[in-house]
Amino acid sequence: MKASLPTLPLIVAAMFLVVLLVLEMAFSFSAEALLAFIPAALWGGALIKRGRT
Amino acid sequence: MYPGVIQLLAVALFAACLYHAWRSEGQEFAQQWFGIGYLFVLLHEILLVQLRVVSYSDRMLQFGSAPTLISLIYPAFFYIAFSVARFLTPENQVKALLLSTILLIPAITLPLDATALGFDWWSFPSQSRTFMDGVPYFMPLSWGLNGALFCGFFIVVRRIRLKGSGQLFALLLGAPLVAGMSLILVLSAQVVVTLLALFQSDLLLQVAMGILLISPPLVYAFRLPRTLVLDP
Repeated sequence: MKASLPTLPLIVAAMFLVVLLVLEMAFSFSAEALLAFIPAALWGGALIKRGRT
Repeated sequence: MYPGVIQLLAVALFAACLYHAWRSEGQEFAQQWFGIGYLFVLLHEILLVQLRVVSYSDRMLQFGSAPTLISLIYPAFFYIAFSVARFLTPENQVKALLLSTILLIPAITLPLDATALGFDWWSFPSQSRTFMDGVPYFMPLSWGLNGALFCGFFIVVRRIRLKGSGQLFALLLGAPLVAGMSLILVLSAQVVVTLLALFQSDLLLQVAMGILLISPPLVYAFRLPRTLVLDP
C-alpha cells in the first residue's frame, strides 16, 4: 500500500515555521535569515502542487 | 529572547507527531521511534556541546549539557521527513527513502537554526564558514545525514524478528553507538565544507547549498528526471 502524506504533522510543522517566521520578522528582522525559509516554502508548494494533480 | 516559545513549540510538535505515529503506525512503532529518537538526539547534543560545535543559552532547560526540551524537536523532524520521504519514494526502496530524508530534513532545521541565532537560543562557536547570519554551512547537511542515519538504524533493527521486547532492547543498546557514529557524519560534513571553501571562497558552497536545498523540491514539483528525488 502506498504511504499517504502525514497531514497532521505537516500542518503542525507549517504552523511551527509560521511562528518562527513571525518572530523573525517582528523582533529580529534579518533578510538573510528570512532566506532560510525558502526551502521549506518550496517543499510545501511542491507537495501541494503534486497533491492536487 | 523568548526561549519559552521555542521550547513550547518543540513539545507541541513532538506531541502532534507522537499522536500521529501512534494512530497511523501503532503503539510499538511510536514508542520506539520517539523514545529511542529522543535518546539518540540527547546523546548527540551532549557530544556536540562537549565538542563546542553548538552552545545553548543558559535560559534553556538543560540536563547536564543537553537541552532537554529542544531535543524533543528533532525526533519529530525526523518523523515528518521519514513520512514525507515514504510518500515520495517507491515502496521498499530504502536507499531512495534515506536519500529523500537527507534532502528533506535541512528544509526545516535551517530556518530553526537561523531564527535561533537571531534570538540567542543557541550559537555555533565553530570556526567553520557560515551563511544566513551565522549558520555553519555544514549544519544543514549534517542534520540531514544524522536524520538518515537514525532512520536507517531504525529500519534495520525493526526488520530483525526479535521476541518480546527484543527490538526495543536492540534499539536501546544501539542508540549510543549510532549517536557516536553521528559525530563522524558531522565531521565529514565539516571536512567537505572546508575543502569546498578552499577553492573559490564561498561561491562553491553557495552553489552546493542551492543544489542541496532548492533543487529537490523543484525537481519534485515539476516532475523533472528522477535524479535527485526518486518519484514513483
